[in-house]
Amino acid sequence: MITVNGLYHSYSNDKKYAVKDVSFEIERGEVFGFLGPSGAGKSTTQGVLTGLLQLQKGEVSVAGYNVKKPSRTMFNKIGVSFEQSNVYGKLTALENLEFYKKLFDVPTRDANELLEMVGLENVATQRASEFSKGMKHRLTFIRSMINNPEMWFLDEPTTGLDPAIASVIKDIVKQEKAKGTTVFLTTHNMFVADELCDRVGFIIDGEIKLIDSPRNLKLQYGEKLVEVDYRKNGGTVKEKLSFIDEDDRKHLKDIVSEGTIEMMHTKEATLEEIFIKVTGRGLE
Amino acid sequence: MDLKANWRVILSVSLIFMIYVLASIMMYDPDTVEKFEQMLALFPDGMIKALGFDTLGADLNGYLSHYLYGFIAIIFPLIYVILIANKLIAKHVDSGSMAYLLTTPTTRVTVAVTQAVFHVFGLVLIFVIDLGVLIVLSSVKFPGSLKLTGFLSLNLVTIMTLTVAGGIAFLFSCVCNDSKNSLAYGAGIPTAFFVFKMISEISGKLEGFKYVTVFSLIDIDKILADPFWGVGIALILFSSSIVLYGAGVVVFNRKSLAI
Repeated sequence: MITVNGLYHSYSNDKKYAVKDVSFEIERGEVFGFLGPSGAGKSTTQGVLTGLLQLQKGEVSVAGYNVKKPSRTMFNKIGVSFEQSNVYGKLTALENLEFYKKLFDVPTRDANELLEMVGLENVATQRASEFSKGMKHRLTFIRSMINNPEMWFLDEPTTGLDPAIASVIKDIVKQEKAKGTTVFLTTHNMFVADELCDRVGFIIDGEIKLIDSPRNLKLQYGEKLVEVDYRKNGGTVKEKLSFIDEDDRKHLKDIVSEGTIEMMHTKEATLEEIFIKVTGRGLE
Repeated sequence: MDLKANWRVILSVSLIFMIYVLASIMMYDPDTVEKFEQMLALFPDGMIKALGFDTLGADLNGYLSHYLYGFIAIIFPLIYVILIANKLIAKHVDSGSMAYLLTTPTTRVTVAVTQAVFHVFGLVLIFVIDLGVLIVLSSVKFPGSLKLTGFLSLNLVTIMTLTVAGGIAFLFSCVCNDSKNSLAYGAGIPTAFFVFKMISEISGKLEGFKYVTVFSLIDIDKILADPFWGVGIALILFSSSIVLYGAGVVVFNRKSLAI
């Protein structure tokens, strides 16, 4: 669905590249997470993929179209929701969606149904200028779905939203993935990436350092330990036991058979910990 | 969408301009033009010349042309062209709404051409409204006094001059990714042209300034005397504005948008 080969981009047209030698592929129906701190090159890459930034060097195709000369029809197949939400304040929520529907040459989704998906149905006829930041973000998010995109670009889709709404947004992304939509997710939120992505790419200083599935990364970089809290002699004992060490495994077996366990966690690494290990930098 | 967002500006400029149109016709009395000129003579000479009131003319054409087209018919529409030029492109880029619009099948050329057409349309609308009121009112109050050929030629040159100023503002709106720079250059250059025009009219010593401003092409006496000369000038200005707006569209089509 997306092929990027040797992508370079400079804002000053010199050798100071915001992204350099970036290459990756995204399969149809895949959710690909682009993880990196602010200024790492995530939005620049997304800008080139969506045709907002000129392709200076490299080869990029999106939904089968060469972005060097993007065709109008390419934009019928993509949906974009940037981190910075933007709505027409003088129009109502419904009018905002109806206005965007007219811009596409393909069958579009029902605006009321979309508003309902993110809990905006009760303010459908309210001017968007009266909306809170989170409401504007939700409206921008559903607007990016209006054309039933095959390729969906989401930039920090849950940033600034309360946990309940963020959960709704994540569920919608999962539903769209289930329908076969390909998602390019740009975020610095490792929990969102972990929950939604089939694969993640770590980008820092404009370069991709690693691409793999969250599961593989956790297996590769996580500690082979289990942390267990259990009752013993009237108190609670907390221990870290290795999966690999024979004695620890035997001890864990004993604790399990005694039935005194209060809590038990595997100690796999979080994506953030892996990111720091790989790049030497944090995600914030 | 743009009409909905900007109609207030068009209406405001039209109304302010109209107040002067109405006042100028109501104040006109063929028998007292001389007295009016004597009254103006009490004011500092430089100020009167800078405002274009130095020669009010003996007839209705001369009076209206000098009273309105030396200053008023330029400054208010000029405010429209520089403000709206920024709002049509740079402000949308600055706010991020342009990025969203350009990720739909709407092409950049379509967006830029639509905005350019709206920009010129708004300017022409202001003149159509006010000129319409002026012609109707003067034909009611002073039937047969207004010689339309010269007056329409003057309006054509004024509109085309403002279109060139608008083209400059539009070009910078397309070049700049933020409103601050768009306004600095897009408003700064046309405003400087207007200031140069005023300076050039203050005294003979400063007359040289007229060679560095497009507004000196609104030569009221020459246009009224030879309306076809005015049409020729208007055609040159029209071609210049096409180049400026066209350059804006080309730049916008090729630029990388800030995201």
